[in-house]
Amino acid sequence: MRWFNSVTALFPILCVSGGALLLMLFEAAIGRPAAPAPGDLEALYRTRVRAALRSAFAIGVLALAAAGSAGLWLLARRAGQLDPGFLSQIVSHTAGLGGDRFALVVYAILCAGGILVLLQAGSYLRELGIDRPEFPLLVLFAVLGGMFLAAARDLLLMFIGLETLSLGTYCLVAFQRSSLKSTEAALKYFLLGSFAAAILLFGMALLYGVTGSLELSRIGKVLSLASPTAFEPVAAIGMALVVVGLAFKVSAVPFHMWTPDAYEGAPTPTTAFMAVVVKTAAFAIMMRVLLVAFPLGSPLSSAPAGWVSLLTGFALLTMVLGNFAGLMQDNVKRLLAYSSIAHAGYILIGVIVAGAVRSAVPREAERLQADALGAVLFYLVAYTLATAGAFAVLSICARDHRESTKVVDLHGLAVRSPGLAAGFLVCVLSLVGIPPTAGFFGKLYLFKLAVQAGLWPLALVGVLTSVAAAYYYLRLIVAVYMRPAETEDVAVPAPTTRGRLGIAAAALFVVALGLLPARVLSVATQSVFDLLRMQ
Amino acid sequence: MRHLLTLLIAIPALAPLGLWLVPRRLVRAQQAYALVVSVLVFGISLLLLKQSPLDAHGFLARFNERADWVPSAGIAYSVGVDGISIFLVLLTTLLTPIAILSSVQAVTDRVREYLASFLLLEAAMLGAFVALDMFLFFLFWEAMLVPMFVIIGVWGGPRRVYAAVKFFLFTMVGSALMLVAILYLAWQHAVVHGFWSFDYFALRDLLLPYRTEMLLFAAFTLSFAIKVPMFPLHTWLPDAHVEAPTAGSVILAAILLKMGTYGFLRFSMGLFPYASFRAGPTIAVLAVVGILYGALVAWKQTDVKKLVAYSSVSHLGFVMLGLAAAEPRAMAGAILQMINHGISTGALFLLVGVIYERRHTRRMEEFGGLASVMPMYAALFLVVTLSSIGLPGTNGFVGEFYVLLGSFQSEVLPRAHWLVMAAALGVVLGAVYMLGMYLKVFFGPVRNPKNEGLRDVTAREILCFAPLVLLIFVIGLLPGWLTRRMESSVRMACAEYVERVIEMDDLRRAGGLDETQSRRLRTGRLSEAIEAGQQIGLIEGEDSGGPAPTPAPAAPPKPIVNIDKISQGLRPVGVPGAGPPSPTPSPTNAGGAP
Repeated sequence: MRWFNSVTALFPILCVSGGALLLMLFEAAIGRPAAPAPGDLEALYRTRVRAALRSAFAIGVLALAAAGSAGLWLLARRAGQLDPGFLSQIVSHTAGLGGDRFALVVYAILCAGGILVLLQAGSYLRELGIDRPEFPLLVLFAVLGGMFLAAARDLLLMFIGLETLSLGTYCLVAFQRSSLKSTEAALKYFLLGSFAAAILLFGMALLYGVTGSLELSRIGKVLSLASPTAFEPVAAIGMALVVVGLAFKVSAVPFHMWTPDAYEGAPTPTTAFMAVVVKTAAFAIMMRVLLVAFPLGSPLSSAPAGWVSLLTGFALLTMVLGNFAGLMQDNVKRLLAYSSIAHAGYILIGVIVAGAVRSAVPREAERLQADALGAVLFYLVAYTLATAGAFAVLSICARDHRESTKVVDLHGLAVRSPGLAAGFLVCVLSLVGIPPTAGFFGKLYLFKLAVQAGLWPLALVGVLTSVAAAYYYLRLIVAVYMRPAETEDVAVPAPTTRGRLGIAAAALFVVALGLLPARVLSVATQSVFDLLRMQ
Repeated sequence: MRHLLTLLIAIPALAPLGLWLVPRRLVRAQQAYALVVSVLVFGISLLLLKQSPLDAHGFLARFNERADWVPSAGIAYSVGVDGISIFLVLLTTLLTPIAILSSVQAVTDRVREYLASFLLLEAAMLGAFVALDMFLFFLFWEAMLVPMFVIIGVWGGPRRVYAAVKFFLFTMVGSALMLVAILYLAWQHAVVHGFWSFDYFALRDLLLPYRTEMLLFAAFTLSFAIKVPMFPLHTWLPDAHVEAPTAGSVILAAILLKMGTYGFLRFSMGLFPYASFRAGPTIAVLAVVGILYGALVAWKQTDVKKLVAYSSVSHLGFVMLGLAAAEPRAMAGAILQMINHGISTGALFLLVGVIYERRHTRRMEEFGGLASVMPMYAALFLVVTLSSIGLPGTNGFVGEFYVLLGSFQSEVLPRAHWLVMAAALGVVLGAVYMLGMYLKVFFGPVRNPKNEGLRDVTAREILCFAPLVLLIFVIGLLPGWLTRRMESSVRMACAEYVERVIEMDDLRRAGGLDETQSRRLRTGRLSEAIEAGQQIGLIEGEDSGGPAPTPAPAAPPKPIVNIDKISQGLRPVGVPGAGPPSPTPSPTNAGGAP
């Protein structure tokens, strides 16, 4: 039964990779049809149906993976209750890929993000004439990279996952080849991303040199057991380099420079993908690396030279700069880019709390850590839904499908399509953190934990900057609801059913999580224990 | 009956969904639907007036509800209503249908969203008035913002976006700090008791260090003072009022502003009695400044709506003065004044809306001699104006009189008589600007030819005003009808407040009151409040009238513990630890509210 266990634990990953390969083979086998002649409606229809089927297939694969993750989660919980050794049993046979519940929850978030991106991509790509099969394919592969990241138990796998995710994303950013801005953004992202990857790799090498292992838990053990004096500086530098590499991926200040440009230049669905999937995966691996390789009590966690103080600095800068820079943006995609930077700052609060817990009782400390990481996961869910929903509105019904969507382009949206405007309102309110939305609870939990851990400055800065943030989010609401459309000369594409579905689902879940957050929070908190107790 | 309050919140919260079942074209049907829903809510809320036994905290026991919501964070759904909030709830449910009815003609654009905003706003306001879990309160408090923001920003006047954003940001700044304070309180609860709780009563029993209490009080009070609005923080109000559509102004003035005063009474004073006692004089001075400032600025206005907006600043100063005085009569007067202001200012905004709908201007110099063109309108306006001034026989008189009388006797405020005299000057100024405005608009010859053919109030408009005018006289002539229901809660709140101030003073001999202040407090009229508390069975004790025994100087400082006063019964003031042999409940009328 062991092989069965190991395959079962890998089901979501196998599902996505298998689906992606199938799609690729299929597209390669049937070849690309010639572009339909201008008058040939039948051929046009056929290409459209094919595009729709492709994206439906990709969505189905992601949905299956998400459902599989949910099923495995239940199984793991039951098994964990029956036989505590079961979990480690599944895990130990899957070559460093953890099937633990933390990874499963992240899988589900990534798949949901991927689905929301694919739902909004259809009409956007068609408008621009770039509705090619590579898009869903790249999304699937990038999500796969994200899943590797969520499950990686050693540094090498982490790097493979990160590169898979990043390469897919680079291509997605450059997807609109004919646009100068898109290619420029992709190049910028690629160069800076490779640079960050190199830094990360260097950090990994240093850590390997010091500890002799690539496995996260072994690194943790060696670092905390061995007398640290001999190699602490090298380990500290390695740790710092790894943190910097990951901070680049989550776009924390001061490693955020690429974010506004890449977000602006990329096709809008890709922007949504970066904001949602890349960020979630990067936070997942950040939590795992920091809390497993440099756990509580390790000299590199909360000591002055540890990652807690490093991240605290990043978080403060990120919240302040992300929110205040957002105030001055006229381009909605840039604005949401700064918003995503600011949200990274809030999420970092949760990670910091997990590393800064001070308690004499180990069980107590672990519970607080689990609360903190559970809150991070909850926030990631809320953020994913709201951000993907907001970008979906931009993808579908901004008046202008060029890469720069100005605030002006949203004017009069509430009159044109009230339903989408309402969905946008809900998502933006969730980003502001107004009840009863998921974003409110997400922020609340994080601030609550900061207060609990005695990290006053973080909570206070977080609360005050979210007031500043309210101002620029309000501009979006004002544009949608309170300004009349200026001219009607630009034909507005009719939103597709798929797009509407995505926005409706996002808004609905945002409200549902805002009213009944307890269940999801408890799932998140339980899952985090697997990470904290990782051997 | 058990779930009455939940029903009150849930109906308007869910009803907007039904609006989307009505076809877009049938605007009248949508309006009728919203009206029926809000009248239904009003009808249900009238059931609150049924006699109900009180629980230990003075809440109507029959309506209390409590259910866990997010157990891991100690968040509960907990609602209840007492003599302080009951009339605010009724005011909300009464004014929402009136607001909806008043805008049947005025708003024709995006009617569905408009009606939905009002219903959602009603749900949030009701929730905030009845929430007894701090978290729940905050949730409703924040949720109120969005519908009001949309109402001002979408259906408002020319500068509506500016006004709406200003309104939103002002409130948000205050509430952000309040959120941190609430989290800190809940965390303190976790530190002391080992689990998180946002329960109002649980948090009230925490004992905090003086400095912390002051900080938390400041965070809460800032938030409420912005909402009231108190003097230096009032600048958002004229903008919001002038730009909001009529019905929005009505709700804003009549109910949203009360959220600030209610929050101050329930939460600032309830959670941090000692801090609010120390800050009482400052608040009172600001309130009086607000009374005078608001009145003077109102005097100089040429826009009728702006005048009414500034008069709100002035009137709410009376409320804050009454609350800061911490005297049962003043407090009852303040609550009464909240209701009165809701009725008369709500009616004033409606009246201004009537003329604005006809002439699309609100400038006084455009009018003159309206009394001969619109006699019925002039009569209604006169009644409401007189009520706003506080003429005896109308509701305004009773509230202002109680506030001034009670504040005059306040032991908390130093030199209370000077403050009251200044405040009384505000009453005079109120008459000056209101009557001046009335004179300019209604009397004299009809100078502007545009005013000649104006239509008098329609039956629909009369239907809007009828309940308000009726209430003006009912409350003015029979205030006992209201005060009777408030009395026990107000007295209890006052008694607890004083009790806790004295008790905390005992605990903090070091940094607390000076000797004379302390003695004055103990022997002063405030002990009447304690007596009153004993009469209704809240406080068990034998020593009521005379001066309380001086505290033992070497009283050991108590550790931070949960003083569950209500279940244990208060020990007489100043007797530490091993107190009286057995507290004898006062035999005469324990447990019975009059």
